[in-house]
Amino acid sequence: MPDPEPVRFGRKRALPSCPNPLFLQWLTELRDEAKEKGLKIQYTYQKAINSLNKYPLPLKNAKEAKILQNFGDGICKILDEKLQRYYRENGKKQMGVEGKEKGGGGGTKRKKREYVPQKRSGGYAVLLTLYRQAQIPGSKGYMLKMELQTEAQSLCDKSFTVPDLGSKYTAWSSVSTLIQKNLLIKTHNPARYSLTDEGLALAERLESVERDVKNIPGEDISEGDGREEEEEERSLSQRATCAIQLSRDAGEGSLQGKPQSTLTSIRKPNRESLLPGAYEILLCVDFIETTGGSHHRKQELVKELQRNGVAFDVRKLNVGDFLWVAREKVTPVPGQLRAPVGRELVLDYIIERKRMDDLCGSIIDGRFREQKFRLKRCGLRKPIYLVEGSSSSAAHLSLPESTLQQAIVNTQVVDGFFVKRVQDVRESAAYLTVMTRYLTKLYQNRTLFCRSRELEGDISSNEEEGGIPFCSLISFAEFNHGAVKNKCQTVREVFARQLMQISGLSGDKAAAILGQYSSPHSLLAAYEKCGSEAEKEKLLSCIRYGKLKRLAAYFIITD
Amino acid sequence: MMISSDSEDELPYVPLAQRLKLRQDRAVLTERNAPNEAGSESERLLSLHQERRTTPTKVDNPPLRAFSTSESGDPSPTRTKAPKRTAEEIQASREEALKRRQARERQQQEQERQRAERKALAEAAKALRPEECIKHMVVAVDPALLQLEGGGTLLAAVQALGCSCSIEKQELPRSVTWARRAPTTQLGDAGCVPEPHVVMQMTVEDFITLIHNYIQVERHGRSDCSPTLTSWVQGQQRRHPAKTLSLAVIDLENYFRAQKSNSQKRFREAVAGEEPRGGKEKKKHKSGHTGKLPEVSRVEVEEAMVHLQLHTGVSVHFLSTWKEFSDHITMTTKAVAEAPFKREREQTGFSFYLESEWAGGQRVDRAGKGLLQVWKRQIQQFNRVSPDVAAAILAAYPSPQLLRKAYSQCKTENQKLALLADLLIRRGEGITSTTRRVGPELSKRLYLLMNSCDPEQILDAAV
Repeated sequence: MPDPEPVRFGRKRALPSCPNPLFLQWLTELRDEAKEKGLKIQYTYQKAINSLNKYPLPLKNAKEAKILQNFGDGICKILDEKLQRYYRENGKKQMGVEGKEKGGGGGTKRKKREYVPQKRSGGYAVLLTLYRQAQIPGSKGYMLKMELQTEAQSLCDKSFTVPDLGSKYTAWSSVSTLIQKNLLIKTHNPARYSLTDEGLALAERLESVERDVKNIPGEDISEGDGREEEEEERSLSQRATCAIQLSRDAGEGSLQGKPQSTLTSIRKPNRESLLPGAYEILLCVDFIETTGGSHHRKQELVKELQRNGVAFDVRKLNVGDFLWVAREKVTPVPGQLRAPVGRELVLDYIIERKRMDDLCGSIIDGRFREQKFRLKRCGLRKPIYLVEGSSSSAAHLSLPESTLQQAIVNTQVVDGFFVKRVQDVRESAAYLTVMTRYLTKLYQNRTLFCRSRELEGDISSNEEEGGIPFCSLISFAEFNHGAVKNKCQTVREVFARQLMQISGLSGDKAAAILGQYSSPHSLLAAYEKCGSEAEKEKLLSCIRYGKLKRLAAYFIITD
Repeated sequence: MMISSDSEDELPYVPLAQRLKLRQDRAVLTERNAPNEAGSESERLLSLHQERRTTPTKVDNPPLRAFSTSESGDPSPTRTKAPKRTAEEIQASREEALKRRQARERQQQEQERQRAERKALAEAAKALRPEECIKHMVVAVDPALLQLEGGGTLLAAVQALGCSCSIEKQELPRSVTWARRAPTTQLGDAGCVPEPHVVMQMTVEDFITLIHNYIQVERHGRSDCSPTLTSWVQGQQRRHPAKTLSLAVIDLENYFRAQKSNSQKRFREAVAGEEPRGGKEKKKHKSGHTGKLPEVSRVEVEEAMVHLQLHTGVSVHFLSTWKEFSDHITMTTKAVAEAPFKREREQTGFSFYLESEWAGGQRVDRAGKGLLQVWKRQIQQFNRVSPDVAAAILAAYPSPQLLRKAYSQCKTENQKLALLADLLIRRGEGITSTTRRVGPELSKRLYLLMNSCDPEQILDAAV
């Protein structure tokens, strides 16, 4: 019997070479240009590319291309123009020779125009801010999102957080362009932004131009007071200093004459503060608590709160059902419809409300533990579990009542949450009402400080003594953003999750493996270095668990 | 069919983190133990032999094992053959033999110690497991709780759990506390580690009185010395700073019912013009409260409890019967017993939580069956990857090694980035089926995962 052919992996039938390389090339360029600019037409071009790829015959001109799907008048016209230009420049060459022709075709320049961000645009501000931070000796080499936004805002005309009317894009959107152009990289979770070598070079040039410009008129351009005021109105939450803010609130004019120190105080976080009387305590209700379901009981909660005169706001909370914010009192600006956005700091109390049937359902499908996990990590230190329901409501559910009761007790003892039991939705509303009133009273004369969780981390110790409430609070924006369910994944995280897909590999074992081989690449490389199967099996034996032999086998097999 | 790893079961199970730590310690020790003398090598060989003799099961001391053992265990192999030795030589060899013996003993002691340590760790870990932990719990009940009719049920319920119960006067009034018996010590109660959680039962009288005082202070500004609910609890907290308090009140509803019926009675009398029947009435309470309790409304109770929460973080449980109270105590006992195990389990150091869908892990048998499923699940660990998409990738590359090979066969990075982009996903059947590609974004994410050397690299494109 002749030797069986060695198994070939991958494609068995060779791909034919491209019959329409020019059209393909132009469409690809058009698509990439559109992608850079973030235009939706990139998808149109992509569809045309897909369809062209499936067509095996050479096309003589753009009109012929019209027979293909997704080739409409627009694209054909563009391709026709390009074709004409190509013929003019290259004589009537035969089309479709090889796919490897480069540099041909009209309209494409040899060297792409280098990306230079506009002065005082988002990209400009971000590059310059990171560059300046890098110049400080001993700097950490990266910045976190909130930090970067705060520091870069003064260099940028558009707000990093508040989109212009009619658009959903802010100056921050340009960061994705910078990343795509390899000027910036984003790593870790929570995200860290740092300059690449190219980014550094570009930023250096930006800085030197900036310096030259400054030197010419002989005074600080960017620190004028006039510009200050305008920026105030647009993005109040981005001020690094609180001088002007305080003066506006307290009605004093004395601070306005003060010369502004450089707003980009990179090293020291200049703490924003809210003075007593300048803010109000507001209950935030997750909008899912008020809609959905056939229960008009959900509406009843809101109605009760209204009847009790509770100041509340319905919004989308990424974690928890109720919480409280201290919101700055703002007065509308004459001449503008939209009132300026007040700063919001979130108080340490967060409530997860569970009716008995919800509790039962969430235990069964596993959400119960996941929700508690997320509540513990959200940055607020006083989680509350509001359990609504009487014994009768617990009676006819899928789980026995004792199981539910045990789960509630566990939440208090094991997870350390404050458990509040109420009979029905009216009592829930009563509890929220009383809590809001008491919190308002508690914070009556307190100055609040904005703390950034990214920069300063969480505070573990209970610094309260007696009746003094905690006054160093996170901003609502940072809190809600940080609690998003499906955050960006890092290599490490996905690798760990993948390891845990094997039975017997739990979190701590995955952590142990990651201690030695922090990415799949390094683990696979280590396996390749092993000489024999036995060695491969032993590779992870430092972790000494029989089932890991199977893990090793898994990485070796090539079936 | 799952074949469990056998050699594991001989040795006591010790949690991974501790095993790794032990390894490190042992590595340090063996380094330290190596004496810096000329006879060191032979000593090590000797001790290895000693090891072999005393511990037939495997002991992991790889540095020692590496030495080949051609020598026999005889301390002086050359005695019979060598010529007569001088006195100094004999003395020297005696000293050497002594040193070797000492080293051997030290080695043995070290191993004994390590073994005992490992055993202790294993036992400690075992004692925290859910099935075992409750047997080590000791529930201490204040005798005041047993004086009323519910006391019997409480004791019975606790004993039914399988843990020990002790009745002794507690530092906190009317409280139930817990302690965990440390398994290795042979001492009796001295080996008990107290748990921070405490449940204090409060009588309705005390509760209402404290709330009433609170209302007086809050509403009417009367600041006499009588304690309010909050100040009383704060006092207890100050005296026992290591304890986490929680309160329980039994049958508060009775108080409200009595209050309501009283007020209805008074109303009726006032309307009907009858004379109030004097103090006798107030004594005819159904509940048997002696003396009159101040009147407090439900809202006022709520307010006092919120005030308590904000200032002390202590919660109050309302239970209607003594049976419910004893159930509560048994559930709390179970929770306290299992708490360390559960908290330990959550300490992975990862910021994600494995949803229940993925939490189990796929069983793989010795033949390798199930590995395909594992790979499919692994592909789905990325955000936004559905089973259909995973199936498409799986069909093209049924194992990670194949994928890796394909990446290595690509010539440019762009090729690698886009390797999976054009794989078709089959969705729907027949007429309604659509063709969808895996797409460049997911292709990029997979490429980055398999080929990046930086664990902190972000896969998603979103900013």
